[in-house]
Amino acid sequence: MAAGRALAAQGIYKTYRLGNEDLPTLAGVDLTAAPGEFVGLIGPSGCGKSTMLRLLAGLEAPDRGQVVFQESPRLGAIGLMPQRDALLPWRTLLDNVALGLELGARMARPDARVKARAQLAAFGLDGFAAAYPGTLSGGMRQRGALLRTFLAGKPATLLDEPLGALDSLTRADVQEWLEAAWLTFQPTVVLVTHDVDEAIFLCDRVYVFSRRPGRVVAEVSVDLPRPRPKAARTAPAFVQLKERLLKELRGDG
Amino acid sequence: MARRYGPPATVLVIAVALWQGAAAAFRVPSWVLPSPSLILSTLWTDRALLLANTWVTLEETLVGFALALAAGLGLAFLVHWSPLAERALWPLIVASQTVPVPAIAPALVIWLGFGLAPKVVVVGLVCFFPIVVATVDGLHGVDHELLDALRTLGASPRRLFAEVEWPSAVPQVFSGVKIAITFSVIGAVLGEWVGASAGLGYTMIRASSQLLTARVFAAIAVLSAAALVLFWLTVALERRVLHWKFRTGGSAG
Ligand SMILES: Nc1ncnc2c1ncn2[C@@H]1O[C@H](COP(=O)(O)OP(=O)(O)O)[C@@H](O)[C@H]1O
Ligand SMILES: [Mg+2]
Repeated sequence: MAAGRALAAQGIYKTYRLGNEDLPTLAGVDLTAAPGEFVGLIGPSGCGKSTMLRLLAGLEAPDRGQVVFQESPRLGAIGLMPQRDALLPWRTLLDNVALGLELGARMARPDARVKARAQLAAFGLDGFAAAYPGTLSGGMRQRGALLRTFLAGKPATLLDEPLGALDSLTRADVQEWLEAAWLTFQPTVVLVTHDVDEAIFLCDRVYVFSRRPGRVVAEVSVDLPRPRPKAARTAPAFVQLKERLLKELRGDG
Repeated sequence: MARRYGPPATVLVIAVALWQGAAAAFRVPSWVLPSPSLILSTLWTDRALLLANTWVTLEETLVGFALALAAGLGLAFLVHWSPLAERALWPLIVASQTVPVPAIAPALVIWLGFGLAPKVVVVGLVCFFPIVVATVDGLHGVDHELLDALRTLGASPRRLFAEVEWPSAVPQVFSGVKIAITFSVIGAVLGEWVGASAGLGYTMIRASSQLLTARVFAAIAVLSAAALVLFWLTVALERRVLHWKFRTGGSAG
C-alpha cells in the first residue's frame, strides 16, 4: 500500500441544474487532509457531502476552485467507496473483494483471491466467499465494498457512509478494524458519516457542513489517543466532543 | 414440470383432437387439410427425406444466425463507443428493418446464386436487428455508480467494458438472441422459397405443387420443432451464463 498523500480542496463551488432551476450544492468549501490523516465530513443530508467526494476523486469537476493532489490525473489514484456499495452483481463476494487488489495492486486474479480470502474472516464474511452480492444483507455488502476499497491500497481513500447499513454491534467491530487497518497502512482517508460517534471514534479532524449549499461551518480536532478502545466512547473528552459537534450540526455552535 | 408444460400441452392435445375429429366428420379431402394422424404417419414414412432436408435448413439457419450475432454485437459496440457512429449508423440500422426481406430475396438470388449464401444473408437480415437493439439498450442501461467506483480504483476503459458494461448488458443480449433465434428458422425457409434445391422450405414448395399437403404439414412440424429446440438451447445457455442472476432470484426476461 502506498503511503498517504496530502489532499486539499480550495474554494470549491458546484451548482447542478435541475430542469431549469439552479441547485447550488457547494458554495466555497475549503478543506485539507494531511498525508495519512483521517478526516471526517458530517452535515445534514443533501448538503453536498457525496458531491464533495466525487469532486475529490476526480469523477466530476467543480465550477470554481480546485482540488490539489500530488498525483495527476486524480481519477484512479484516489479510491472511492460510494454510498451504495457498488459491488458487481456478477462477481462473487470473494471476487469483488479481490477486484480491489486486481485493480489497485495489479495482481493476477488467483493471487488476489488468496490474499482477499485471508481478509474475509476479520469482517465476519468468511462463510460467504462464494455468495453473490444479491444474496447478502446490506451490511455484508458494505463490509465487502469497504474491504475492496481498502485493499486497492490507494494513497488516499474516500468513504461515503461506509457503515450506514450495519447494526450497531457489527459497526463497532468494523470501526475497530478500520482504525487498525488505517494505523497499519496510513493512507489518507476522508470519511463521510451521519454518525457523530463514528466521526469522533475514527477521525483526527472533523469538518461540519452547513445545509445545502454546503459550506464548512466548523472544524473540530479530535485529540484522543490511538488506538481508541470501544470504552473511549464513554470517556468525558469523547462526550464533550460529541456535544460540541451536535451543537455545530444544529447550527448554534 | 407438470405446472409448466401441463397447460400448453393440454391445449395442444385438445386442438389436435378437434382437428382430427373435424377432418373425419366432414370428410375433408386430405390434400385440402390432412388429419393429424396422416401428418404423423407422413413424418414417419418421409423421415429420410425430411431429415436430409432438415440438415440443409439447419445449416443455413445456424450460419446465418452466427453472422447476425457477430454483426449485431459488432454494430452495437460501435454505436455504444462512438457517438459519431451512433449518429451515422443508428438511423440506417433502423431503416434497414423497413426493407421487406421477402421482397429483396429474389435480388439476393440474382447476386448470390442458389446455394447457401442467399439463405444465410436472409437469416442474417432477419436476426441481426433484435440483437443490435437489445445489446445497445443493455450497454446504455449500465449502472453508472458501478462504473464510477471502478474508475476511482484505476480501471482502464477496456477493463470497465469487460468488468461492468458487458456483464450488465448480457441479460438484455439474451433477450435479443431469443427473439432472433426464433425468427432464424423462418428466415431460412423464406430464403429457400425464392430459389433452392434442398431444405425444408424447398420441400414444402415442391410438396405443395404436387398437392402432397400432408408432407407440407410434416415439414412445418419439423420446422417448429427445430425452432423450439434452438430456443430451448438458448434458454439453457442463458441459465448457465447468468447463474448469478437466477441464483439471486432476480428476474430474467
Ligand atoms: N448529478 C446531479 N444532478 C443534479 N443534482 C444533483 C446531482 N448530484 C447531486 N445532486 C443534488 O445535490 C445535492 C447534494 O447531494 P449529495 O452530495 O448527494 O448530498 P449528501 O451526500 O450530503 O446527502 C442534493 O440536493 C442532490 O439532489
Ligand atoms: Mg450522500
